Amino acid sequence: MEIHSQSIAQLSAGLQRKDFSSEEVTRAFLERINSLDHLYNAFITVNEEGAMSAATKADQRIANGTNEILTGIPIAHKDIFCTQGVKTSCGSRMLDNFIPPYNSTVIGNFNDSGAIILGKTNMDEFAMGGSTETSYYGPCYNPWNTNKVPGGSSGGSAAAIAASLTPGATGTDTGGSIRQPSSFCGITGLKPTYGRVSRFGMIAFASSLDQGGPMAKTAEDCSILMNVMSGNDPKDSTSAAKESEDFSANLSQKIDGLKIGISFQNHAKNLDLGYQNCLEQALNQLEKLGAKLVEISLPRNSFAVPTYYVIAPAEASSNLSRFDGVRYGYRCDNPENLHDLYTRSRSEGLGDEVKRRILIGTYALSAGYYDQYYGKAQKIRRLIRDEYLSCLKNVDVIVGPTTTGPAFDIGSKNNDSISMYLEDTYTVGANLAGLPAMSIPIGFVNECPIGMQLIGRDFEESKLLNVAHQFQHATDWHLQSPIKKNNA
Amino acid sequence: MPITPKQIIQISNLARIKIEQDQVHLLTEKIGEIISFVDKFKTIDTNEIEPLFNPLDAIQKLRFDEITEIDESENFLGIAPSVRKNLFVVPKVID
Amino acid sequence: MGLEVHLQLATSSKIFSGSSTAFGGAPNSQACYIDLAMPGTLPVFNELALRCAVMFGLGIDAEINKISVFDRKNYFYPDLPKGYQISQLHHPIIGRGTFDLFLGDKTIYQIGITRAHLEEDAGKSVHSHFDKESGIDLNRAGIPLLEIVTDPDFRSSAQVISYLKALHILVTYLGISDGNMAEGSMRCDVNISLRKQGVDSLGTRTEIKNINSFRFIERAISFEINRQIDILEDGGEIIQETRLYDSELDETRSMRSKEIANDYRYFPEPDLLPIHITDDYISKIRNSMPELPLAKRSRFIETYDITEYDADVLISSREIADYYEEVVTTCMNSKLAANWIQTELLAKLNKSEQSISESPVSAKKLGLLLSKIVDETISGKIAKQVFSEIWSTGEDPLLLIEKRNLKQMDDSSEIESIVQTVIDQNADQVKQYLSANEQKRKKLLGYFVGQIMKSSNGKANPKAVNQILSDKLSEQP
Repeated sequence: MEIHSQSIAQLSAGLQRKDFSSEEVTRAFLERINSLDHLYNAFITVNEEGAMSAATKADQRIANGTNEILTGIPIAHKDIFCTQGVKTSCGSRMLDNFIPPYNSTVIGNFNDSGAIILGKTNMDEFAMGGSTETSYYGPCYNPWNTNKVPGGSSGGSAAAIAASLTPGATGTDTGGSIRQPSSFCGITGLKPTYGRVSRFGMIAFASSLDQGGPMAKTAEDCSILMNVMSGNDPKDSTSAAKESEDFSANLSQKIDGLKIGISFQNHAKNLDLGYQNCLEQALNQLEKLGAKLVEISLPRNSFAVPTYYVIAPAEASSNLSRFDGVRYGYRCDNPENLHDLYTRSRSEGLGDEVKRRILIGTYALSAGYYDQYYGKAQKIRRLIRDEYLSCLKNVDVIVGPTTTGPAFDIGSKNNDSISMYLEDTYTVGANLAGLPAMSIPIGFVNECPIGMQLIGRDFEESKLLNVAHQFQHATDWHLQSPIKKNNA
Repeated sequence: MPITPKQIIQISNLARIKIEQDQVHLLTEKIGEIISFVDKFKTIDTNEIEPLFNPLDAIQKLRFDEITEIDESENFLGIAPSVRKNLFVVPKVID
Repeated sequence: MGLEVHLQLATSSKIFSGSSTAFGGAPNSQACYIDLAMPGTLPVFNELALRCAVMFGLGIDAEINKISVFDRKNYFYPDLPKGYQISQLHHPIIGRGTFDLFLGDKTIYQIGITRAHLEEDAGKSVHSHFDKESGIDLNRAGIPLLEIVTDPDFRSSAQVISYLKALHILVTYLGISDGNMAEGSMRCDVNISLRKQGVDSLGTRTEIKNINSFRFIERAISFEINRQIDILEDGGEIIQETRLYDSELDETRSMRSKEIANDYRYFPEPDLLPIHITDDYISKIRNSMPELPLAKRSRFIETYDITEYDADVLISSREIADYYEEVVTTCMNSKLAANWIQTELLAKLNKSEQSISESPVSAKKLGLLLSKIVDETISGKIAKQVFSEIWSTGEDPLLLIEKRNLKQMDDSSEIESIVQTVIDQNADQVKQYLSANEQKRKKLLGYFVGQIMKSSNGKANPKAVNQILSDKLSEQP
């Protein structure tokens, strides 16, 4: 099998067997990026030199036997994770010139494991969006159909994996930004429990919702990435004090007797027939594997999107205040005075969607509106979490669609904020509640992939990965590739 | 209308976002739309519900008081847009 | 009047980062990526800052909130890198407490403490370096502060100053702050509002910021009170605003720039979780608390039988109090020790601009010296000479007394012979004495004593001298 078609697990085994070297693997992916990425615009920065020199070092580790499972494997990172010495733009003009003098904890963890930083992937500006169209570096295109969006905000990571430009990638998920692009690009993505993956050095969008996570072709690969990414970080006060665990350990466990909660009435009305069929087949498959379906009801969840669109912009409006043109990043030319420096640097450096959300967030926190909006939203958030928790007392995982449909056309929702926001209908609940959730491919609608979402209990990522792996063991949706399709 | 152009201007001032005069109306409409959408949640009764500010059910961890950072000002000042005499330079600050 | 005091807590690293808090570093040399609000960086709370706050709460017997929450106070300013200050709004660490003030007239005046909360300091704008621009130094950004807010209980600037002095003493006793006003470790904002006679409620208040010495506080307050009176008497209205005290012009002026946007959009800081304080944590701190100044004051007055005034001086710092107690245990005379420390030691230290911890004469040595006065080995006058000498040489006072043979002359035959010599040499004066009235006699007696002490090099025991002299004089024909 060609290098670029292999999973992380396969590449790791190949490196261990010395079938190929890390330099060969890294070069293979760099070459693919160089020759193909003009079609997708999945990368903002390609770390060519850094990757090759890291590959040389990785080969030395492999030679002297000090390698770990990810040593020598190239990984792409969403351009939201600070990488020391490598531009970290967050998809914004504001940080177009920003080369961090430090690493995020996640990048540090990958570096320690000997993984190779292949490059930084495209994203919606400051992760605000569901289509990777708001990037300062231009939209990213869906490898399954380049007229379609790859989803967002981690669209670059998803597209890069789908197009086999990287075997795996990191993403972040504030309201669905890992799961929705995973669904649109036919890959596997996991948003861990809030607190599982350190947020240090991950540029903040909404602090109480943001969570980094793995994206790859398979659940198994996601588990390998999770083993490296996750863990308690003393530099992040909201990092959970959990023992690190082996997320790969339970993959092969049978899911006999697993109780799956599904809320048909919750999504039946919005979902098109093709998607419903795929979901039904996937559920049948899970039943065949021994799972039991249980009907559940999540009525509060219909308020999740409005709740999310108060909390996320409110936190963002404050988190993005640091971009003021004083210490780093974009600064306007010839500011007349202090006010001019602020307003022009911010207005010229930030895009429209980001500015819109800052304004909404500022409004939601402003005197006289706090209780109606921000305060109220955080109360509904508790109701939503309580509802999930009470369902998860009776079932092991909650399953449903990831998105309302397959990838949409580029430009089709640009002028309709509400319909863009409603894209997050199924995903934001897990962020508000802090629960782990993942998306796995379950079929195609109009030749575009769609995903199924699994939501688990706090810190039960292993169970989600186990169910996903068992499903992928029995199906081959995750093995479909736009490359094969294009070649056929 | 859930929000007025005057409020939009006030808020943009607070957020230090410049809005061109000819954009005020459009932006008021767009943001008004979003606010109307969000307003749906007002129907939920949240009396006596404690807000959930963070989903992580944990308490603040404490850092031992020790100096762990070294002087890296050269690196940090090196990426700043305007620096003189080791100071970040801004237009005159008037108290 | 009500006060907001910003107290810099004595931690070695910042409240949310591991940067140094040392004073006077090169610009921006003590500002790490967290202090500079670099993208993605996050705060982690310093345990010592928490402990200092709890100690303060225990020190004023205030409520200590078991759960407290950090909030973001959002505003743009170049010295505020994140665009928000991490502070505490609704759930401060310290709740209500009271602060007892002892005023000169021996009355106790209670100041209500509304609350005290933790927050981070901002950086500093430097205006002098450039023409049309300002420079920003962020070394101070993130230094832990405890903001102590009082009820509007002050009626005079004298009360304000005695509160600040007492607060300074308390926090230095607790070791939670050096309270240094000149270096900005203790900064004070005063809220001033006037109340018409016979009216219950206070008028509109103004806040004066940026006062950094006791002298300026007095001036700023009196300027502002007069300004408000003038406005009200002219039928004007006071505007609620923040005013800056300008010590050069001796006036307060409006800070309009800060008034543009005062909607701070507070909300709970999502990068930090609620702080939980256990009873165990509090009781551990309580058990390690030093004796507080007011308790010490009462104890000194009671056990050492000294005046309130003396007690106030002696408790004015923990070092002075400790010094005093060591002197007392060595010399066993509390009043003598109190006098000597004030009139000799502190005066000399003051002159040489030294603190008591830098004193060339240790408490032990001073105690030994005073013990020789107590047992009448030497006179007070000789003791002063010895003190001067050991101040500059650091010598042991007992050895010095021995070496110089400074012991008091107790041998009455020796004294008798000196007295006899003086009487013989001053026959005229003796004659005058015998015929003089009471008043004149006293004067001449003093003269004789002086002569005798001189001849004995000051060593003659004054009691013995008096006795022998009056015996001898009465024997004169």
